[in-house]
Formats: sequence, structure tokens, C-alpha cells
Amino acid sequence: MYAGMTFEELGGWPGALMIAVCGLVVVFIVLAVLALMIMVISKVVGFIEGKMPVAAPAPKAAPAAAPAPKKEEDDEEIIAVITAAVAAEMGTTPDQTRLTSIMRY
Amino acid sequence: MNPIEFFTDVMSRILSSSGFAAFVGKMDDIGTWWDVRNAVMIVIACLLLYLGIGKKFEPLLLVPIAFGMLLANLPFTYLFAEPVFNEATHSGSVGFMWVLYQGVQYAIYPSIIFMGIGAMTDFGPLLANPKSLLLGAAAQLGIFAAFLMALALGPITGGAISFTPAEAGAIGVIGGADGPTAILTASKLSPQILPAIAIAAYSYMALIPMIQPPLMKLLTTKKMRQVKMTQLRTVSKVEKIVFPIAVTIFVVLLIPDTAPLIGMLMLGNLFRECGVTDRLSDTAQNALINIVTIPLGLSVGFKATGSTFLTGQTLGIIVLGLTAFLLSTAGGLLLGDLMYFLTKGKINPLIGSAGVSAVPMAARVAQTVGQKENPSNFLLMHAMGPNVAGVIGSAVAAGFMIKVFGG
Repeated sequence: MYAGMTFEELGGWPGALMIAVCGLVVVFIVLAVLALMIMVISKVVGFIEGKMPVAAPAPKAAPAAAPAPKKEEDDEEIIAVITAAVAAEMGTTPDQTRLTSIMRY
Repeated sequence: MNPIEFFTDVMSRILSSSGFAAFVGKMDDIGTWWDVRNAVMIVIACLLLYLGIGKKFEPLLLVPIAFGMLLANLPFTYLFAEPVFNEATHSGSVGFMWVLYQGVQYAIYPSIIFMGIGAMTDFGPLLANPKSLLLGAAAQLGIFAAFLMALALGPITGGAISFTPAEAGAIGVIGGADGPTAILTASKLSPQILPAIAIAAYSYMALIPMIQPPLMKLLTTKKMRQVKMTQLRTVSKVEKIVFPIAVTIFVVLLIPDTAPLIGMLMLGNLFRECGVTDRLSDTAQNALINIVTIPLGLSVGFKATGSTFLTGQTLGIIVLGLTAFLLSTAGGLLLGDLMYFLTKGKINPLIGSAGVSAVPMAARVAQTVGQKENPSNFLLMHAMGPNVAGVIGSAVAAGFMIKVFGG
């Protein structure tokens, strides 16, 4: 488009400002449309997979039984550690799994 | 001629064709001029080697770049000689550096490296929270702001340091905090300042843990920084397979100049996610990316000769690069702040600064700063969304710059 042009040929400051604004707008529009695309894809995929019995691990439903009745902060840390360890053992990552209960024997 | 005269004659010829003699100012057989600036560059190359090896500034790129710079400034090596073919003898010669540089000139290395990056990237956090894409977009503010500032530097310095619009565009892309993207854009828009841009980009990427936190504290309140975000939803395999294909089709149709970067990024990601090409994924993110990193670094360094590097422009690029990084971080943080208000406190603005696409460093910085405020806050996965969105965002911005200013 404006290859090899000098600043003046570009239209000076108005031209440069226009290009900068256009660029930012283009980036936003493209990424916003990608975001919409992702949301559509996940709805469609979720619909298709919902029609087939899924043998996968965690359901997407709200977390079932709260892991432990205690509310203390360091228990949350222990849970995080256990989740990470279990996920590592299963060969996935913590955000792919959901622990529904931890029992202390 | 007696033996002593012969001896001094031969020795003086050898010494005058040695590199040391070139530093006073000499031209070689292919028209390259050597002078004391090359000696200065050799010192700078050693300094960069110290930064890369001793201070561990992105060593995988900085060490080959620094060494390429070193080799490029040693005189009379003819490493950058263009191909010469002798029809009669069916033989030819070409400089080794010239051959390696073709991978930069024709956008081969950055494309292959992006494929490796795609194979290393998990887009799960992004797919689980598509709003991250907006944070990735906001963090590209630095690119366009730095573009304008690069143009402003001419009037400000009274013409001492000035950039053409194409050069300013390439400098702006430093703000994307993405090495291969910056190198690709510079190779197409302004090859003469490519080494300065690449060195600035990689140096500031290494300094992100120092550059970002002050800005993060400045643009957010303590309460904002303490927000804990809800756990991300699980993303199905099918989504992860459809995503790279869909992105490629849409983005490349819209801006064809993004094809080398976006196309290869998504191909690498597809190799990773589809499950049937694990060998290719493994090669792309390990052996192949390493194989290509070496000549890429060398080639970038090769271009940094005394006459092209020791200029006011380089100084300008160093300053502008830092500004670009700061403004990108600010852009992501400000949109993060806005989203915090719009979602009534559900989003932690700190993840906005991770929209600066230095993966995974910027996400880790968001995690550390967040954890300082709230020790049980694990923002890393949430920050990975904007982080990888930023990679896509800076590739789109680079494609835009190439489309507007490219030939």
C-alpha cells in the first residue's frame, strides 16, 4: 500500500494517526471475531458431544460436594497440591480435571 | 631480491591483509568498507555474549546473535559475499553468511519457529475464557503507539534520529514482545535495522520480570490485584482441534500477510492437539526449532556491522523498544481494569499485562505479582489465556504493518 513512502507522502500526522488507529481497530476486530468464533465452536461441539455418551472424566456441572467442610486457607492449598498431583499422575493438567471429593482416613 | 627483503615483503603483505590492518579504513575485493567501527562492534558483541551467557538474557537467541555480530565485524572474511558463478569452470563461490541469511530474507526461519511455538502452546486457557482475546488485543497498543513515537522522534531530535514510516512500523512491532514476529516484520520492512530491532526485542523480553511489575502496581489497586478468578472450564479435545483450523481460515482470509506467522503457528498447534501427529509435534517443538534458531540468530547478528549498527537510529530503537513494551503492558492492564469493573470484580486486571506475548514469562509475572497480594491466588493458567492471545494479536498487527508498508 504505502510502501517506500516518506512521512509527508503518507499524509503527515493525520495519515500516521489514521494508520495507527486503523491497525488497533483491525487487531481488536479480528480477535473479537475469533472470541465469538470460539464461543460458537464450543457450543456446537458441546451440542454434538452431548448427543453421544461421553466416557470422559469430569462433568461440566457445578462442583459437586465441596471438597472439605473446613474453610481454612491452608486447606485450600493442600487441595491444590492434591489436585496437581492427581492430575500429574493421570497425565493431564489440573484444569482438565475436577476432584469431587477428598476423604481423610 | 635477498632473503631478508623477501621475508619482509611477504610478512608485510600478510599483515596488511590481516584483519588488524583493516581497522584503519580499507575496502575489500567485494566493495565492503572496514574501519574502526568494526572494532567497536566486536567489543559490543563480546558485551552481548556476556549478557547472554553471564546474565542469561534469552541466551538461546542472544548467544548466536552476538556471535554472528562478532563474525560479521571481523574484516576480510567474505562471509557475506553474494553468489558468483563462473560459467566456464562450472564452479562458484558464495559467502556462508549470505547463504544462511536467505532464511531470514525469505521469512523461512521465523515461520518454522512459529510452528514450533504453536506445537508448544496450549490454547486451552484461551478457549476456556475467550474474553482473554480482548486483553491480548489491548496489549498490542504498544505496537501502534511506538509506531507513532518512532515517527515523532524525527521532529523531536531535529532530524538527528529519524525513521521512515516503514521503519517505524517495524520498530513498533517490538511492542508485540515476540521475537520471530519482530524479525519477520523487520526483514520485510526495514532489513537495515533488523539487528537492532531483534536485539532490543529479545533484551526487553528477558527484562519483563523487571519492567512489568512497577507498571502493574501503578495501574491497578490492591483490591483489584487480590481478585481470585474462578476455575476454568474444561475444554474438549474436539474444540482444541477445530480451533487452529478455524483461526487459520478466518485470519488468513482477512489479512493474507499474516499467513506465514498465523498459518505456521496454527499448524504447529494442530500437530500438538490432533493426537495423530505426535512425532511431528515433538520434532517441531524440539529438534526443528533448535535447528532453525541457530542460523536465525547468526543471520540477525551478521547484519549488525559497524556502519549499520553504530548509528543514532540504534539508540532510538533501544529507547523506543522499551517504550513499546511499557505501553503494551499498560494497554493490557487498562483493559483488564475495565473488564474488572464491567464484570463487577470477577476478572483480575493483572492478567491483562500477560497480553504481552512473551510466553510464558509474562504469565508467570502476573502469577508472581498476584501471589504477592494474595498467597492463595494462582493466576498462571488464567494469565496464559491473554498470553497466547497476544501471540495471535501481535501476528495480526505485524501482518497489518506488512500489508500497509510492505512492497
